[in-house]
Amino acid sequence: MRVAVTRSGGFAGLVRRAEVDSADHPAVAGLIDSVSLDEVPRHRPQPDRYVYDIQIGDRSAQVGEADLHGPLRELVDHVMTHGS
Amino acid sequence: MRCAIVPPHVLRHVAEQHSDEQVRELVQRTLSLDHTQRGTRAAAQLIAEAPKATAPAAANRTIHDAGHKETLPGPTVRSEGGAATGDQAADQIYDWLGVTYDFYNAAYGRNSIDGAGLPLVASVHYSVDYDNAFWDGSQMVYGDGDQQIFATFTAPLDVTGHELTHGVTQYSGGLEYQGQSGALNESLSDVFGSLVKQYHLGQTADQADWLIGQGMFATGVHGTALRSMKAPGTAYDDPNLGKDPQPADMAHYVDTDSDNGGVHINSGIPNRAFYLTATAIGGHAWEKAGRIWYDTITGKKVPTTADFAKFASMTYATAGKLFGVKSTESDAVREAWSTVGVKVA
Repeated sequence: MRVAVTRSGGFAGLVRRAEVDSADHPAVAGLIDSVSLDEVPRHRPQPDRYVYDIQIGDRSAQVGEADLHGPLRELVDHVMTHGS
Repeated sequence: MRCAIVPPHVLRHVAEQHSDEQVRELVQRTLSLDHTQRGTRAAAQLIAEAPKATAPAAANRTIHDAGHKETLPGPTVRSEGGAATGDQAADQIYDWLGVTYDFYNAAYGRNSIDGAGLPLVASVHYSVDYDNAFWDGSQMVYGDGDQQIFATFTAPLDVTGHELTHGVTQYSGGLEYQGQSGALNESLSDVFGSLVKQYHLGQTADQADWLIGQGMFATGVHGTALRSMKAPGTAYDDPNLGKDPQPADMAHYVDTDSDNGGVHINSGIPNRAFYLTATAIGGHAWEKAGRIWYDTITGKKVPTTADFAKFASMTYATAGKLFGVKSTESDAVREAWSTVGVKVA
């Protein structure tokens, strides 16, 4: 499954985008099972914090940096570090 | 006070009209003495009537070291009046908070972020390779930068001015951090971030670089700064980062879902309106253009969802109140907004 992350905002306002195919990343495949994009809190905009647009297959969610915890944070970090 | 029972208007007449020069002089001195004492009395009364000050009008800074973790604020490394720590980031932020405090106090008589002496709290060394700085609603937070794209977030003074101004906007009633009101929120932080720097360097509007984040990029990045208020869209053009996406006018407004509706992108439009106003007026930008913007946002009448047109009209109204409806300053404000494609009502 395709997992894509777009990070925008921050003081700099630079946009970074990365994606992986979970078939190539066992860690991502494991993390996908423990996150539910339907359950992330509604995005609350905050000055100069990062905004993450996360896409897992055909599901997507927008999450603020301050609300990015646990397995979803691990997933995002993995994609941003190892994705292309 | 021999002359205390003589009404001032009579004294003034004597001072101007008496045939004896010595008498005129004596009476003039009496008048000025009386005036001084009246002033002193009035001041004493004002002080007596003023609400009890909750804090002295001086910066109260505390710097913490987050130690590359994400738990805030982290251990205290320097308090107000404390000795330098030797940590470059901590000591730099201690100084920049002081300069920003002094700027708001000297330029607009504002005692800290909330106008009531709010302690200034900052954490440095936040997280690992963190390419950001932010105001979290109660304190400033600074990453070290990843050294690939960003070399520092603590060295440029305007970053601290920008973050602290998010606090000023918040305490002034706030502007929703989404779409045009969010871009105005961002622009106000860039405006006063730049003004803090200009104030510190003693620059006039035509001497200032009008750049935001000059000197932040790591070596090798093709760019001079993050944003240009003078020429939005020209701050950087790099193979890895792409080109500065800021529009310079409404015709190039960017509709996007990312970055809360492009708040760091479309801020280029009101940023340029401020630059145009300040350079048209001339002199120190914080004195007139800055005063117009400051009075507008702190007047507590800007709706939290204000768009560019609403804010523009309010700055024009403020300029009219401060300098007169047909003044050079009012004309400069209207012309500036018109140039960036925002019509002042």
